[in-house]
Amino acid sequence: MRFLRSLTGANLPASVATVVIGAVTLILPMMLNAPDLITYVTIGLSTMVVAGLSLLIGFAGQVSLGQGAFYGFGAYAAAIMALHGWPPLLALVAAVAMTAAIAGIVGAVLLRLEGHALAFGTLALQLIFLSVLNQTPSFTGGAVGLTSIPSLTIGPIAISSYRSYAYLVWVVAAAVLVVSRNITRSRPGRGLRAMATSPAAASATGVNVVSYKLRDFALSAAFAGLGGAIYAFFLGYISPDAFPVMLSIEFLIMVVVGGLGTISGAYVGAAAITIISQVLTAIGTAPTLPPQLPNVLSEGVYALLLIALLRFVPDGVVGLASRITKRLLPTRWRPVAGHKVAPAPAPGRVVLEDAGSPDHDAAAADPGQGTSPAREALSRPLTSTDG
Amino acid sequence: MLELERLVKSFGGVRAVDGVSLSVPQGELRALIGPNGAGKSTLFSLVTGHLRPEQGTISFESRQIEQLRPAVRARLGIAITFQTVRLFRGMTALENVMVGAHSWTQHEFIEAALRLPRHFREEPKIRERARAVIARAGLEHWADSPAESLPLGQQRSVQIARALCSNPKLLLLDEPAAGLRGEERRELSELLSRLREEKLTMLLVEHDISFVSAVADRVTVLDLGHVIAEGTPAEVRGNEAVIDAYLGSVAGDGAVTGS
Repeated sequence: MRFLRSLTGANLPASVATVVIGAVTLILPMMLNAPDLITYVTIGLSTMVVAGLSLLIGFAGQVSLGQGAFYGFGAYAAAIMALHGWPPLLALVAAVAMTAAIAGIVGAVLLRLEGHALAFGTLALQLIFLSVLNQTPSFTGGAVGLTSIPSLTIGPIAISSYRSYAYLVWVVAAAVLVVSRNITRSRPGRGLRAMATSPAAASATGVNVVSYKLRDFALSAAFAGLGGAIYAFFLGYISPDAFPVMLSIEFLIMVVVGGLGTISGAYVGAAAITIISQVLTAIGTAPTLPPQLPNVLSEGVYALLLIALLRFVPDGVVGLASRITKRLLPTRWRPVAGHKVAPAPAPGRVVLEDAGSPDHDAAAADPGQGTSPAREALSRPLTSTDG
Repeated sequence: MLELERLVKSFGGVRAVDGVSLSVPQGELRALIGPNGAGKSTLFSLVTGHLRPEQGTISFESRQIEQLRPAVRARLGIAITFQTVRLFRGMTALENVMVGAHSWTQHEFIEAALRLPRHFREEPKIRERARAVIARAGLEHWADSPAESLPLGQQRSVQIARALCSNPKLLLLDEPAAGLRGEERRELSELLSRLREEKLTMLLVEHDISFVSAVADRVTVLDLGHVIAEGTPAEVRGNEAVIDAYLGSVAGDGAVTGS
C-alpha cells in the first residue's frame, strides 16, 4: 500500500479508487455488448474533452461553451484527410495539431474577452462552425456529412472492432488524464491556478497571463480535437447533427459534475452524464411518447443538475467523495498534505477569506481586476440568478 | 537603484501625482507616507506598472521602465505585495509562494506535461527556495494549509514570502500593516527589519507614521500629489509641513499617532 501511495502521490482512498476504477475500466469491454461498447467509447472520448475543459475552467478560470466545435473540428479534419488518402494515424495526429493551431489563432482574439463575454464568444464559435459545415457541402458533405471514413490502423494493427476501439480510447484517455495531472502539479499548473484567482496578482508575480491563457486554450482544444478525431474513425460517418450546441453544454456539465479543479473528475463527470443521457433517451423514446420528449427531458435534467450541483455540491462528485472519505477514515489514512486537503489551522483566531478587504482605497492599484475563482466565473454566466 | 523623475499622473483634471521625484539607493528601506488622497497609491501603481505616467520617467538600475508592463518589471526583479491580500485560492501557502519562482524558472506546458528533464531540474529548486522563504517569513507552521484559511497577518506574510521567492532586487509593499493589530503588527515589523538588514531595497507605502518610524531608513512624505518632506523618520515627524498636512486632512483619523 505504501508503494501504491508513493506511486500515485495521492492519499490512500484516492489510490484505491484509481486502481479499482482502472481495473473495472479495463475488464468491462470484455463483458459489454455492442450498444454498451458504444457508450463505453463515448465516455472515453468525452473524458478527453472534459479533461481539457477542466484545465481551462477549473484551473485557469476561463469558461468555454464552444468545446463541441473543437471536437467537431477534430472529427472533420481527420475524416477529410483520411478520405483524401492520408494514412488514418497521420490524419489523426494532423487533426489534433490543426485543432490546436485553430484554437491558438481564434484564441488570440477571443481570449481578450472575460467571464460572460468569453462564454458567449466561444458559443458563437460553435454556431459559426455549424454554419460553415452546412455551407460547404462539396468539402464537408453539408448537412448530410461524410461517410465511409476508414478505420484507424496503427502500424500493422487495424483498429476496427468496437472492442479494439474501447481499448484504444481507454489508453488515450488515461494518457490525457496523466498529462493533465502533470500540468496541474507543476510550474505552469500553479501559474494557471494563480491566474484563476487574480490575473493582476498572477502577472505581478511573474506569470505571463496572456501566453498561459492561450496555451491552455489551445491545449484544451487539442484534447477535444483528439476525442473528435477518434470519434470520426470509430463511427465511420459524421454529420453536423453530431456536434450540436447541446454537446458543448454537456461537456461543461460533465466538468461541473466531476468537480472543478480536479482532473480525475473528468472521467467521473463524463461517465455520469453519458449514462444519464442514455437513460433519458431510453425513457424519452419509449413508444406513444411525443417525439420532442428526449430533448425536453435532457435539457431540463441538465439545467436542474447544473443548478443543484453549483448550489449544493460546488466541488463536484470527486470533491464530495474526498470529503466523505476524510470524515470516515481513521486519521493515519488521511492524505498527508496536498492542495485539496485542509489541515486544522493552528490555534488562534481564524479570519475568513475576505479579511483583507476592509481597506480604504483597496481597488486603486488596479481597478476592474477583481478576484474571480473558477466557480464564480462559471455560476455567473450559467445560473445568473444572482447576477 | 530606483529613480523617479518629475512624475505626473492625473485623473479627470485632478493631478493625483504632480511632479514627484525621488531616489531610493540600493539597500534602503524607503517609506512613502501621506494622508488619504496624497497620491501614494497612484504613485505606487506607477512604479508597479499598473498605471502609466503622463510625464516623467522611472528608472530601475539605470534602465527606463515607465512604459513596461507589470509582468516585464517583475522579470527585471521588481516584486510587489498588494494592500488587499491577493493570495491564490485553492492552493496551499507553500504553493502560493512557489508561484513567485516564475520569474527565474522556464519549464512550460509541454515540459510539465511530459515530465521532461527541465521539469525535474527546476521543480526541486522551486520547492527548496519556497521552503526557505517560508521559513524566513516565519510561516513553517502554515506551509501546507490552504492559503485562504490563514489569519490576515499570516496572509500578509505569505504575500511577502511569495514576492521574496522571485529573488527580487526591489520589493514594493502597499500598506502591509493595514488591518493588522498588536502581535501581527510587531511580527511584520520584525520581518521587514530582517529584510532590511539583509540589504534588500524596499519601497513601503504606508498610512501610519508610527509603524514606518520603527522600520524605515528614510521617509518621503506626500501631500496632494507633491513631496512635502523627506528625511529620517525622526526628522519627518518634527517637520511642520508634515504635521499640518496630517492634522489638516485627517484630524479625527488618528493616523499620526497610529491606529
